[in-house]
Amino acid sequence: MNNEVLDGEREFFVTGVRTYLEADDAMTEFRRLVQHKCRTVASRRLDELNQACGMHWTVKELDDYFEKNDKNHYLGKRIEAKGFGGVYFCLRLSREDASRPFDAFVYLYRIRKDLANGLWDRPGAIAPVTYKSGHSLGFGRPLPEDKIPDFEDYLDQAVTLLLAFINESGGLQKYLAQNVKLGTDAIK
Amino acid sequence: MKVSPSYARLTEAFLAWSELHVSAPPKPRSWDSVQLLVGSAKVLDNYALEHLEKALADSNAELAPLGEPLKLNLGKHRWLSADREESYSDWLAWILQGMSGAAEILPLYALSDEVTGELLGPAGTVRREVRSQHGRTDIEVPIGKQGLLLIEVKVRNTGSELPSQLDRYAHKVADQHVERPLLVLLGTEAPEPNLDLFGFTFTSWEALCQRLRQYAHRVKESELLRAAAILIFCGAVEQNLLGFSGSPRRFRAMATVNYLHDWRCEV
Repeated sequence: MNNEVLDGEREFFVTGVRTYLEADDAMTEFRRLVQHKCRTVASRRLDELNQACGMHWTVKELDDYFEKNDKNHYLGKRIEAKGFGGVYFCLRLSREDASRPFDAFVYLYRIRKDLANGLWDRPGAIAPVTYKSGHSLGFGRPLPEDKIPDFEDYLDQAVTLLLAFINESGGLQKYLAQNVKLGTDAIK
Repeated sequence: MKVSPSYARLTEAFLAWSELHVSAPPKPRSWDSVQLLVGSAKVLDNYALEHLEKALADSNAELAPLGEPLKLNLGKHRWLSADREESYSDWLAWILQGMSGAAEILPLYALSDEVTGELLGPAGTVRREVRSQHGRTDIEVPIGKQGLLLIEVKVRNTGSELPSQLDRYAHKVADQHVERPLLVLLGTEAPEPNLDLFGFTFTSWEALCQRLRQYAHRVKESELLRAAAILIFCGAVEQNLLGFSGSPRRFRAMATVNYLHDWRCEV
């Protein structure tokens, strides 16, 4: 290795040692701040979500949520629907899509792929699904660079998309099997 | 005879290749982004520190004649240092024992929906560290004639052994033929969303402490000492496990301000 590389490595290492904990604390605080914003939005729309999903969720049931994979990081809040899955409210940061690096993102999650199949099969006329996998139905609003301070408004719009999709589909309860009683019994 | 190639032998090679795959072009190593983020966090911290005194004072007034437990330094008490899971479990068990039954206990774990007729009734003796072939459970609370609340207490981030532990405890409850098992995982951070919790419901220490604060606020007129003990427990958890404080460490001032605001919102 030449001296320039060694110097660069040395400087990076020294800065890292000096900065690492402070950076880690800043990241922790950032995650908390995002989660707080997601909680604010989710709390505001909880009555409508309860109506659409046939639930009796309260703000107290919103849990922190943080997940990452090679492509995306998700920071936010989630609320559990026992026996089914839950609803997630988050900021999605993407490494994969340079044209869409930030999203205000809401998704419906099912623990098993044989739950609410009818809902997963719907295309969504008013509110098209922006992300679909075996377990998740996602509704995202791309967050432009200059609109990052308005994240809560964008997340609110993503919730509106989710609600429109569920409502135009006739409500969540309609798609659940007889043995799933949301909020009380786990599926056997 | 034609012999199929042993494709399984290739798995290792494919895995090695996948390790080499890079989805984005590597960026030069730099701490610039980090320093930008740290700078913003410092600005936020200074702003939050200006608001912290008022948040503490408001909370203090709400809890009068008691006081805001974050003003009391509970970080140096040996009983309550961060890794003393048994101490936290013991104290929590004592608090639950002082409650009347399902109607008071279950809402602490967001299990209000479970408070139905069959579960109404007084709580039985709260048990700690019950041993069985399935292991040693942290807290068990018999409720009414048919219910059992089992709380698995974690004061640190959970490891890979968590699912098997919860599975064993779920089997233990099933072996006891409890009609209404209520399984709670109490921890600082929610487990990974796709992790199988075997019927356990996660409750965060933060949510629990907020509810205990609200409970203490309700009972302080009639049971001042018990309310005080509960608030001190909250203060210990908040300072040692959650990082809230009247004199917060770096970048925790805003979190403390928000926390103090949130618990009072539902009083």
